[in-house]
Amino acid sequence: MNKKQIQKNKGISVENLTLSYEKNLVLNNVNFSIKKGSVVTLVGPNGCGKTTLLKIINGFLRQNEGTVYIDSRNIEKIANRDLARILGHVSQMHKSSFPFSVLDVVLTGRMPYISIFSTPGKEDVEKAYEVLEFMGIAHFAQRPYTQISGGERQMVMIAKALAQEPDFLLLDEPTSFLDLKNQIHVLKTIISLAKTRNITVLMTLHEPNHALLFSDEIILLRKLNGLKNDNFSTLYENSPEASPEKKNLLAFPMKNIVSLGAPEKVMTPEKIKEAYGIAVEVLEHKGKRMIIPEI
Amino acid sequence: MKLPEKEKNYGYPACRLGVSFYSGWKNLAYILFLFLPVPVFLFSIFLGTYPLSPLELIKVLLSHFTAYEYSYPSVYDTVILNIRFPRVLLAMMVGAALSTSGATFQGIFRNPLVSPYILGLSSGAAFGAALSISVIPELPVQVGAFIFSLVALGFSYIMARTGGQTSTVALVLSGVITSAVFGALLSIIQFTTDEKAVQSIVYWTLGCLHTSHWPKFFDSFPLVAAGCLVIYLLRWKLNVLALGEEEAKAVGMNVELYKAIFITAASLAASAAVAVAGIIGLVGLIVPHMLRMIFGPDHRKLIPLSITFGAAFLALVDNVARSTLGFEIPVGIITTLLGAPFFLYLLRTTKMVGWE
Repeated sequence: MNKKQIQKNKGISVENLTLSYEKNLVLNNVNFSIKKGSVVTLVGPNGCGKTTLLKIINGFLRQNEGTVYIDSRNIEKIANRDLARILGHVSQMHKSSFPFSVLDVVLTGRMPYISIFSTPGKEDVEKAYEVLEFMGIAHFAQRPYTQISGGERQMVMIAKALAQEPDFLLLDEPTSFLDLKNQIHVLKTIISLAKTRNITVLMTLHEPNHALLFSDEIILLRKLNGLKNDNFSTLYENSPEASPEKKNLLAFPMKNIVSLGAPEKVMTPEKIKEAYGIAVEVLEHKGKRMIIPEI
Repeated sequence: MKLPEKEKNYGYPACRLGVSFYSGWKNLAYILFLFLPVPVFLFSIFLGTYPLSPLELIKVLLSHFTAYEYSYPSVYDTVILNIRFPRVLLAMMVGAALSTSGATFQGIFRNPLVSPYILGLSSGAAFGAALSISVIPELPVQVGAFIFSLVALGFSYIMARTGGQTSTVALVLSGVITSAVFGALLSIIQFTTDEKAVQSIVYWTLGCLHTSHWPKFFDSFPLVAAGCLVIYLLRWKLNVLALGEEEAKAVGMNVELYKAIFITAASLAASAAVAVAGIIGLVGLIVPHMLRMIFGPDHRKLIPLSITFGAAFLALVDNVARSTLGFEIPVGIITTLLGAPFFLYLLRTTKMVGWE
């Protein structure tokens, strides 16, 4: 295998991913790959499987079919601890019932490097301070995590994930519950991570305009349940060979991904209509694009 | 990312200085609390119903442990070595076990209202004790209480477990159900047995240390020590768990494994303590709380402090139980009556952080 081939296999690659929750098909045959060092955003309506997809990639959920590769390794074959060393995850707004100091929260990110009967050592504390400084929040290392603002808390959670020293960072709605200033601050921080630390970022965002502004690539998803009106379901009900597996195949021949690639190619009025079912206009201003819904 | 100059200068070294100044007294208090059981033990052995002056007691001890010679009635030896020593040590062991177990359960459940009895331990133990008192006299009370407290815990855990997962809510609910079931079973025994047995059952459930003797201490000590040691060694992992299970998974923790280890260790320690002392309430709830208010929630400090301060706390409360009035008061009653106002005082005077 030549060098180019190996380079190509670096990154995240998702193949034929299928998952159903109870009887609802959430993900149907999803395929995409993410180049190392890029910032990729998953965009789509509620319930389209964005969060589910992230949870499968970091091993919280197991898919029914398909495989996820990280740097060409099947994630199912990577131990939790080893996965946590290459992949960080920041979940949607996190709350703690204990007033742990910010430093203590960030230190938990050192878990994959700390053996069973040990506690974090001097080196771990230094690593934690290093990421806190990188995030610009070292000055409140000793503040209780429960007494800082939502924006600061999000920065702490990102710092915690960075303390894992990951090559990949998954973020689920990193800007939800934040005000505009904090939204932009968090997104700018995320981009600078990708640039300065060569971390590959995969995140979900609700605001398509933020996705346009901050992503190298966008993956636009649609919700499969939206296709329930098709007469495929009735076709299934009447079929003598009815079985849950067949139902999926019959009722949902559609795939989740509407489009993927460069932001300006993905976020077109036609494709957005396909994903969200609403009409939008795309404006261009000083080389930046903006989506305005028709009211 | 470029930081504004001002923020850069306000980085951690300056902050660290401020913190070390502020936390100076806290470090001192931490060390004092760690060694608290020693003075408390020395103080406690002077107390008791048998009239023995402090001077005499010191002389007896000196003659035992040094070359000092002193002749005294042999009953002094019985009082000091076979009554007071095991009593104080048992109180300390029970206090340490309940506090450590309480701190652990609160950490795993991420909930302040959790005590070591959350999973039905106390009702199981009470049923086991009642069973041995009135139905199977061949079964020693401690053994009956210990076995059935573990049966109740196991029952709760298995009920809550579905598909390899044990959710916290399911655990709490199954604990409630288990408590109710064993409560009902206890009622059957109390309803059908004779009056004298009912009296001893009630007395047992109040929590009492007045029957302390060395065998009780030595029987339960290995279990309590093993449980506390495991929790102590894994104490930092409680920080990871206490931030939430999804967060713990994200940093690569095997959440179900650690939860099972912590629940087993905390249950063993608490069951062994309850088996020899009865149901002493509130210690497992308020000791970790008080420590968190003073030292913060970091389990690296909280667990060793729970062991030592829990030990000192129950020994002191037991002193009140055995020497304030002319007769023995079950220590479980005192822990509740003393603990509640003290807890209220702390709640009102210290700024309560967290517990959202």
